[in-house]
Amino acid sequence: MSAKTYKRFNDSEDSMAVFQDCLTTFNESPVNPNKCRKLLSKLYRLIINSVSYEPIFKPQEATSLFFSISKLFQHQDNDSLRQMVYLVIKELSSMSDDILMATASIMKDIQSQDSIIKPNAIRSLVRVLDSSTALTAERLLKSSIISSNNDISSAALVSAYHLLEISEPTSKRLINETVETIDSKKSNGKLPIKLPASDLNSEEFEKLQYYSAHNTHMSQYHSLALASSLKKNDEMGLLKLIKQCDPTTVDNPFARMEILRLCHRLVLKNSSKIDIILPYLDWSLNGSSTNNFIVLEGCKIIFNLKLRDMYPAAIDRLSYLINDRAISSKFAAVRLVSDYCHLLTPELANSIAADIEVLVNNENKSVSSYAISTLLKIGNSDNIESLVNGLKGSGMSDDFKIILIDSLAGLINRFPKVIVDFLLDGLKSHEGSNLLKNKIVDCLSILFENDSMNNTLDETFKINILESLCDFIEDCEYTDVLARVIYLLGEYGSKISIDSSVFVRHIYNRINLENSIIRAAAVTALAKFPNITEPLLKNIAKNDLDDEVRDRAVICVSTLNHQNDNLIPSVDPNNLIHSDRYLRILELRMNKYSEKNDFSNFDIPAEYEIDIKEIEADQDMKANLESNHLDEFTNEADESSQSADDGNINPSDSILEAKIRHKYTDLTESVLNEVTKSKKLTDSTSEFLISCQRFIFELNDNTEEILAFKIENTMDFPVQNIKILDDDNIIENIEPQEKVELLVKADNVVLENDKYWSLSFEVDDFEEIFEFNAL
Amino acid sequence: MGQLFSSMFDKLFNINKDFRILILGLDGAGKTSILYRLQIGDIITTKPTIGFNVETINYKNIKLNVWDLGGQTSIRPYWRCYYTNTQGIIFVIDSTDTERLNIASTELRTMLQEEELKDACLLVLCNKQDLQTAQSIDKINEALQLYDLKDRNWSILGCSAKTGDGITEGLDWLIDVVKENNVE
Amino acid sequence: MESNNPLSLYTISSFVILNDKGRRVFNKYYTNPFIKYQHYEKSKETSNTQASEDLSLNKKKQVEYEKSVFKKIKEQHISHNKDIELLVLDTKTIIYQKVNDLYFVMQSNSSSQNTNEILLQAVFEGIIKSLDLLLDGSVDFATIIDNYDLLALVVDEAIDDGIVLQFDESCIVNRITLMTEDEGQINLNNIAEKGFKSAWGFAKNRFSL
Repeated sequence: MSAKTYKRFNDSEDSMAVFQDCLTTFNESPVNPNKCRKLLSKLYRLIINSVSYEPIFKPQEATSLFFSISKLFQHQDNDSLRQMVYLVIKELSSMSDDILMATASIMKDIQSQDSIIKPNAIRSLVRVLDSSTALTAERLLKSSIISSNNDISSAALVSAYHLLEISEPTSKRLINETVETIDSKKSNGKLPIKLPASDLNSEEFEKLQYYSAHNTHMSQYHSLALASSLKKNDEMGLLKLIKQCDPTTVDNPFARMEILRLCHRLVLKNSSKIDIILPYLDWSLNGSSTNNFIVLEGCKIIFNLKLRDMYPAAIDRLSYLINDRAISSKFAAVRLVSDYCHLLTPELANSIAADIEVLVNNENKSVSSYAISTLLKIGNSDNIESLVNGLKGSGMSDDFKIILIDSLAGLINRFPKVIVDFLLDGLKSHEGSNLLKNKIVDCLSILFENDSMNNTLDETFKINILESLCDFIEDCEYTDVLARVIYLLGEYGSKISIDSSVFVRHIYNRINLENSIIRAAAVTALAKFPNITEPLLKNIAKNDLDDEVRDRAVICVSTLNHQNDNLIPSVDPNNLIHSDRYLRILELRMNKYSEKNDFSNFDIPAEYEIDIKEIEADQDMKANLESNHLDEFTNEADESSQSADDGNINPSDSILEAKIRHKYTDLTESVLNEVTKSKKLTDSTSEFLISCQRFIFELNDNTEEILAFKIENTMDFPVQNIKILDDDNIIENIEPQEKVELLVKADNVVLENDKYWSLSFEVDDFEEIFEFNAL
Repeated sequence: MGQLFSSMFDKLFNINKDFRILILGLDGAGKTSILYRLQIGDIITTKPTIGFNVETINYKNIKLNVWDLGGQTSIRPYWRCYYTNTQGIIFVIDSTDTERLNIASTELRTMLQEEELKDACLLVLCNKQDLQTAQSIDKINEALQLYDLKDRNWSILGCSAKTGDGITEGLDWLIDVVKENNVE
Repeated sequence: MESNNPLSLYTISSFVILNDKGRRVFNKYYTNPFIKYQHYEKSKETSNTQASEDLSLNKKKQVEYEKSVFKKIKEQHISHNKDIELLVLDTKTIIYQKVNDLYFVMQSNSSSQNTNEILLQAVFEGIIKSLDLLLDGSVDFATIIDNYDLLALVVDEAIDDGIVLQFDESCIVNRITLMTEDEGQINLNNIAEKGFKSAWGFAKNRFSL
């Protein structure tokens, strides 16, 4: 390597040197265009490759650079320099101030005849504007969008798309021109107009016209995306856009992909519109000029929308994609099959499996992993074993192992031996993320659970697994995985008929060596082996440093003494699906309990279903509190604010109804006819704030009315034995500021010609009467 | 062909350098109109310049880089960025804008104090003389107090970008002074 | 700016070229230009801006990404392989190719489910083929450094801040101006003729198959 190349390779230019160089060179007059362009590319490289966390040029320096570069605009008729100028200006525009100074120069370029530079100018213009000046670009963007030159049109469309971020109104004004562009076929720019044609002979010149680039019509893509973004909330408008897209005119592959995606989205929102998408799906799979990425999109949609009739056609096309040379086709196709193979009939699945098998040996790890995972899902017993064995030591990344294990989870009950081998390997390996190991434990849990229901596995096999798990817990770095495995050992080890002391020993070792979370899990596990572990647990209950661990040990010991298995609820941490609801109720109840600051016995009442509704409604009300600025209580008491008007049932009403039905069982058959709005019966300065709602039930022409009173104690001492005369229902105690509900049969209260109702209460055993307005 | 001759002439007269001229003034004074009057010889419709316009003008076999900088208040602070290597300044005044004459004067003063412009000559063009309400050159001169200027080659003329009057005369003067100052 | 909107034009997250030691030769991390500018404005006000999650605004994350993608490529790449390859990193699809002593790496913007990998490959190929045409087949570190302007322009004409502008190499190349061969004064006739003839020269070679 010569000294020159060595220096070039190890070029660590001083950024200040380049900076100075730029300032001098660009201010020269006349300017040397090649020198400038070379210097500009040096500057560009410096800026983008800098790895320092601060930008390589401070705002001031960047601004100076920006200004000196803007002076290069004086040199006309030099497209090669101008193109580079635009490139660097765009880069500097996000690190300099006062970039609007370039606006006039850029706009001039846009208005010029030169079509090579126009697209660059348009794209740069948008980067020197801000939300206040965005509108000035509108006219230029409009005329550029309708240009017959594809590059110019695309540049404007793309710029308008960026503008959506800061000034959607500006882009909105371009909607008509945008929509026009969707099905227009614009040609790319030709070579420089200043071309001296006389220098070429006519044959060369003609050939040149022919070779002048393919016309890809990218502006169709850009305009369709912009239009659909501008009309995103206008379903009719979007439908019109789609109708405008005729496959013969809209031939840009990216645009066709957007059409498919747009149809897909519309159908997802409104499944009756399925008809619009069918013709497009058809030409995406079968059209003669169709493109691989369109085929992929079409297949994706077919499976996503579960269009069964088209599955065979889709599978057929996917087969072609799998056999395509391009790696992305293979990958995308096999991934699609993997995601949706559960929808396929066995024939289809097997037909595609043949193609996928070839991919198992593909050099690309991503592709081969997906191939294996898909074949596993399709689940042929012939190849499962060889597949899984082939996976060992294949050096697959964690991401793919996780995908694989997900597929294996569905198969583990059918092919336990083979899969367990693989899983235990993965568990034992020193590599592997937390998620991976958790997934492995998931699979093992599924296996054991299924076995505990169906008794499918033989003892030796289970013992082997458990013993492997014992080894595993000796050396595992993830606390949560360790805890789960300890649980498995406890739960299933205790059910093994042979001597289980080996399991106990391993678990107990953890007690001595690990952190408190593990110790707590170990305690619970040990409790499953009561005969052996009682003295151990007693020891732990006394001596362990951590509260949780001691608490658990104490509970276990005390339940052991009671010799009653049912007292230790077997809430299986590995199987939260069943107990999810229970946990939720528990959580809500506990929150409410702790809010009250009352340390009376915590319990979950039998009517906890009603409870949960009330608590949830409570939380909803509280969430609305800030926006309504109304107390829950006064919200209901205020007649005008009830939301029952829109025909929807007020949630608190349905809760009350449930409570009423629970209390008055004779109403089971009755139908709730009417619920009145809650009405305040006292003024705000009274000792009790009372409001009332009437619930009118009907059964076979008999009506029954229940009054739901809400009572709040505004005094600063508690009151006892509250009841509304002459009903029998009593509330034992109302604390100061507390609100309670009281359900009362209207018959008991409403007396003829009574304008007042009474509430009786006791304070320190003295009875008092409080009168309030009747309904 | 024209370029061939011009390069010959350049060599004959030993003038290879481009001369740099700035056109400054308040917004709406007519700077852009004057620039394009010089370049294409006709009046064009202009919009407020956000930034600058620069054109290369061949005038009597001299190559001029003429920079027309936007005059809006927010843009005036950036004039300084363009002062380097400037041989001449054309300061354009809207002769009908009596209200802002003092602002124009202040801007002019500030500019003339810049170190980088100490060798630049100054041509003040009182534009829009074709209009009825245009003030006379003398009045404007008084307001600007140009006679106070020391160590500066200056001149003040009236003109109209619309009709074209006075523009070339002004430029003639400017070119002569610039050439004198720069022949070495 | 990650986009999970399948209709979004922002399909490309980044395009990076690394040398055989994993150091950056070229890099572009894409996001909406106004977001970039707003970030710049914020960084001027407070010196201690919270680091953004967005790769395009956070140098540290860029370097981390380059390290991890290079590592992954090295792990799974078979040395003689000159084809376009694919891998998945952090749910995003990455298309890469080893060309002589350079690694070209393109990252998609949306997560794997929304990406159309075949499309990604089409754009990727377009860029590489364009470079191939312009550099007369020698796409390697030394040539790239010497023709950095062409590289920068090619990528710029293909992708505009994450939006695919053009994927066909003949279209991309058609937009690239070349430097004049003369140093010194501009001569109108020269530049048009020479620039055009260079284009014509390789067009003759490449397109007349």
